[in-house]
Amino acid sequence: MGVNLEPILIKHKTRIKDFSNSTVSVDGYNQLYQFLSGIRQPDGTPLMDMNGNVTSHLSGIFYRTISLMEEGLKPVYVFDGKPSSLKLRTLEERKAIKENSERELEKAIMNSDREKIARLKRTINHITRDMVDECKQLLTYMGLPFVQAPSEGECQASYMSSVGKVNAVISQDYDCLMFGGKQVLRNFTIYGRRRVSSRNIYVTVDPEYIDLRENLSNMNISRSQLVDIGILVGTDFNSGVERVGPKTALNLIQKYGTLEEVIREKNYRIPMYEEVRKIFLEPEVTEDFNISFTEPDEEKIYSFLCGRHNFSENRVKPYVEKLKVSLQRGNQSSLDSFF
Amino acid sequence: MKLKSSVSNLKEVMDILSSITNEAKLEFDVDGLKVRAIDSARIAMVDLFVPKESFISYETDEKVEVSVELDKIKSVLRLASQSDDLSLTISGSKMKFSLGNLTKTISTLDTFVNSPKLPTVDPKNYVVIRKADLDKGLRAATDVRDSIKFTIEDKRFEASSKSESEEVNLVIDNENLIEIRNQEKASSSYPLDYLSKIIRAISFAETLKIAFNNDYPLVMEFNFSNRDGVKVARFLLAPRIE
Repeated sequence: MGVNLEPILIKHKTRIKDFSNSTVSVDGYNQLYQFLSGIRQPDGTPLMDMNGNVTSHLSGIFYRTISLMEEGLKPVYVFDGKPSSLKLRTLEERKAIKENSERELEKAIMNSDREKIARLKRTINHITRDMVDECKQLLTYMGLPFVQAPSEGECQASYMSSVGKVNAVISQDYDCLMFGGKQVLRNFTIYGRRRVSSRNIYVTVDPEYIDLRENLSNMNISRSQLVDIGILVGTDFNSGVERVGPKTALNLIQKYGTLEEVIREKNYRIPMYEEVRKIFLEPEVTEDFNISFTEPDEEKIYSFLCGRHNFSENRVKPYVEKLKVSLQRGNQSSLDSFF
Repeated sequence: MKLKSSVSNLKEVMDILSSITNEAKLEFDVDGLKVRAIDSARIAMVDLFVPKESFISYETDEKVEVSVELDKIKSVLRLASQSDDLSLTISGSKMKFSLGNLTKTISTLDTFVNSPKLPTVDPKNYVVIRKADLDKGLRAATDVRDSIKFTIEDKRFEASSKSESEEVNLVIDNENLIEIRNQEKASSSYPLDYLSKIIRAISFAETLKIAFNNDYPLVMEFNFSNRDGVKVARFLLAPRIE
């Protein structure tokens, strides 16, 4: 998912506490996928309540968000609105991949191939409207703000960073840099020793940050040129040029300056590239949001998580206490309010 | 640009800056060194001026600006003892330090760190107190809560912190305050970690001027004097709204 810019980016390993006191926008759907694929039972089945409802997303929103807040971060989840029509191709491709995985899963179940069943189960994730509504409901009970984006969530989350409403964006996708996110924080909700089921190995995942200004300066390009590189490589909104990876795209943009010049010199065909560029540089965003943190409604948290979704009260309780302490600290203002 | 300075002089500047950030833009002009830095969460700011008289020697014909990683300079300073002198030459993107028979050259940052604007704050109430008194109050509050509340009322200054089970109050009355201006009751809370770090970083100042209004940024001013002369610093801290 997202654009592959990794080979040309400078990334820094970091500690979550280094971003203490930072307000961060969180690419909601991106993180929900992380929760749904990462928070599972040993056999790959998502966490469920007694009625068979998936609860991995709620577990992530509750426990992982509070863990971030304990380190002093103030998260603002941003949820996707209506996808751009140019994203339909990507969405169709993802749907086809899921359908293929589901067919493979059926075969694996018939063959009792436990390893494959677990691996495939982790890759098949559906974010439903109900799941998103439940996350919003839980965030409200927790006293945390969230933003409904008119279109792409990562676009809105990045915009909030670019105009200084938040300090950074939590997302796994490099697209956030193209959308203008000043700092992108990766592996902030899922980190540590993680199992890669496809290869049956464990890897250590470290939190890292990517600084837009540092990277543009290092590559000696503008953000608009970074967007052009992304379009050459391929984004969620266009296919990119065959056999052009990030390093080649960077070389081409450094040499010719603009996508138009690259297209002219190399005789490439990139349909609707101007519309794609517009999605990144003239984003469809809303200013209608309010980042304020309020007292949590403890009764509703217990009723929702423990009463309705069978979370353990003994496990939820200490986290509610941590949430209360973190929210007290969350009332810290910034000097920006006094310029 | 060339200067010679006591190690302790530069060390204190670096300690004060690195209490809030690890990158800063140093501006050397004909009057001396000016630095303004803000932390990444934009909660605290340091604005300081080290006049050229504070250095043993100081030569520059024009304004020289370098963005630096403070840890790199501090690692050079750690090679010396406090009583040593140190020479610094800045040429292009290189900073060359000479310490006796040792020289070390470090690179400045490729990208400029922006100097932040100063917020438009003008608190009407202030006290001048001994640093040791404030330090005692901050240390007492450490295990109570992560913020501390300052109050100026009826010619006295109070620093207090309260949790569900513990409470600490430091009261300094008019007789023990060096100076006070109390136009109205003013009360505001501030994050303890920022205050503790800056107080630890200030080694020379004996007194501090602390100014604030209700739920308003704290402006802490201090001169840090040693044998090199007088330097002026301001520390600004955004309030915790409770």
